[in-house]
Amino acid sequence: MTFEEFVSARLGTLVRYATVVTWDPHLAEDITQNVLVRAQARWARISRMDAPELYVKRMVVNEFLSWRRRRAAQSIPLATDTLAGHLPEAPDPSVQRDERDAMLRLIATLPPRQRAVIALRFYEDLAVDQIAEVLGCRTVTVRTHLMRALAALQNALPAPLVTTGEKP
Amino acid sequence: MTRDIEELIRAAQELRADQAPPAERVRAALPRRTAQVKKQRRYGLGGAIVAAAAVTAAIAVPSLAVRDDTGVAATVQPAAPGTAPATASASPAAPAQEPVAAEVDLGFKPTWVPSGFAEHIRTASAADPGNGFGPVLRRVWKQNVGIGDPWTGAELSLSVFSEMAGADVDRSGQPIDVNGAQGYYSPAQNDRKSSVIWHPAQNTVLLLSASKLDISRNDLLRMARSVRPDTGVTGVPARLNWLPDGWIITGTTVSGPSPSQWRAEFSTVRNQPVTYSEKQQKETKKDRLQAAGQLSVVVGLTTDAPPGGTELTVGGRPARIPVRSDEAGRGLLYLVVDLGGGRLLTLVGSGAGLTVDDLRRIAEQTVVEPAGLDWLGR
Repeated sequence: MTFEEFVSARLGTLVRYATVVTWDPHLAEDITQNVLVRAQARWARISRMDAPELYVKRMVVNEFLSWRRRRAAQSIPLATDTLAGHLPEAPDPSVQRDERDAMLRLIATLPPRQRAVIALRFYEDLAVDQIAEVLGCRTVTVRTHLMRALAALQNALPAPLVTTGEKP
Repeated sequence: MTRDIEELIRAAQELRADQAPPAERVRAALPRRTAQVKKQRRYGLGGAIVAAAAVTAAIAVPSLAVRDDTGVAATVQPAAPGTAPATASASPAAPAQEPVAAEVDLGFKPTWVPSGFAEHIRTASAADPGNGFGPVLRRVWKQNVGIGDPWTGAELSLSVFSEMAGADVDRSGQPIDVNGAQGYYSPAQNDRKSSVIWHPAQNTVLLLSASKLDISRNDLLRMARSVRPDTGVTGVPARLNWLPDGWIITGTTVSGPSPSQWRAEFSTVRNQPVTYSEKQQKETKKDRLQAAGQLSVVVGLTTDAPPGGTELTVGGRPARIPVRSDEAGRGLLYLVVDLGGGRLLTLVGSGAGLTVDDLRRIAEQTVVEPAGLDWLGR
């Protein structure tokens, strides 16, 4: 597969993934473009890998978490007023959508690494050991990030919206 | 009604993903971003070289200027129709690219390296006619290296730009003296990358870089200041006596843990001139080359080709043509030849009309000449 074929086939998925990892469409666009520029330069090598797309996705996470991006990552819409620009102003009549929108706001408040971990765990459906490989850290570190992220989200959600055990 | 928190997270993530920027917009901006990133790299730490020539999209840059954690030379694939307003067409303005020389002057060497480091990689890159960097030789010292792909882990490298024209040194680092020459030290910025660049002679620039390594300023400067002229030459312990029309060798890399465990890689391309749109033409000033096809030829003790494949003989030696069925590898042509003595020849490439017969002919006319490898691991 040439680089152009990869881009044609997978760019949509990659941009969506980057948006979930960064939680910021503008930053996702920036990071995706930078990563693709680098991937293009090394494509002869990347294309020979068993899973080029996984490698490129790893590049996206690393770019997001790299020092160059930390400042940008921290300035993504964490505040409600900024985030509001991306959300409907009026409350959604659907309770489920209220819950989802509340979660949308809360995920934005997570530290970048926790946000990346939950993106890999729930959006990409990766196992903890796979996430550890992507992030280049120990599985216990991933579990810690995951646990803290879930705890933070549970604690921050309005009580009626939270369930942690069996559904009623 | 409540939902499990994981379901909520997934629902929110799907909603967020739906807010992703349009893929076509991202794609359309790639050529411009390519130019921006390469320019930033040249002006920044990664390149530490300031190109006076116009920097354009989709060009091959000397490996050092854009080499990152993988160390792969930055030869690019051609832009596909629709990706950018660039169209491939014959253009007399496009400059020709000279292949990398079979033997390259070493030029310089450090007489001191930190304890535990030894020279394990030498890579030579052909000049890109558009950027004025000239050919680049890069010597790399590492704590260890395997028999396969060498580009992992901490490294110290000395890059020799011996024919620079139309480019200048980035002066944004901290001014330092390197044996009487003005140099500039760029410390790591939480990325474990630091460098020293200096200008020891006319048209010659040296760049000492540390990557994935916490090295003190004193040690990096000590290594830089230990650099002395080296009158030796370096070559590749193999030779490609035939390539299809229009293909050239743009890079060679020799690596390994010891002289008996060497690995040699040739990076070859078939370039095509590209003419940009009128708008881009104003920015880029000139037409450029893009690699329409790429081929890697590796002689080593391992192969990264997939197992199996059709068996055949090439030059009287057992060989196989592995085929990758996964989507990513479907367009790649492989040929693996058992050279005997545990040594394998692996060819993998695609594009520019490359065929398995081409690979076979290249393999048949590849000569292995293991000599001049005493430097490996020293």
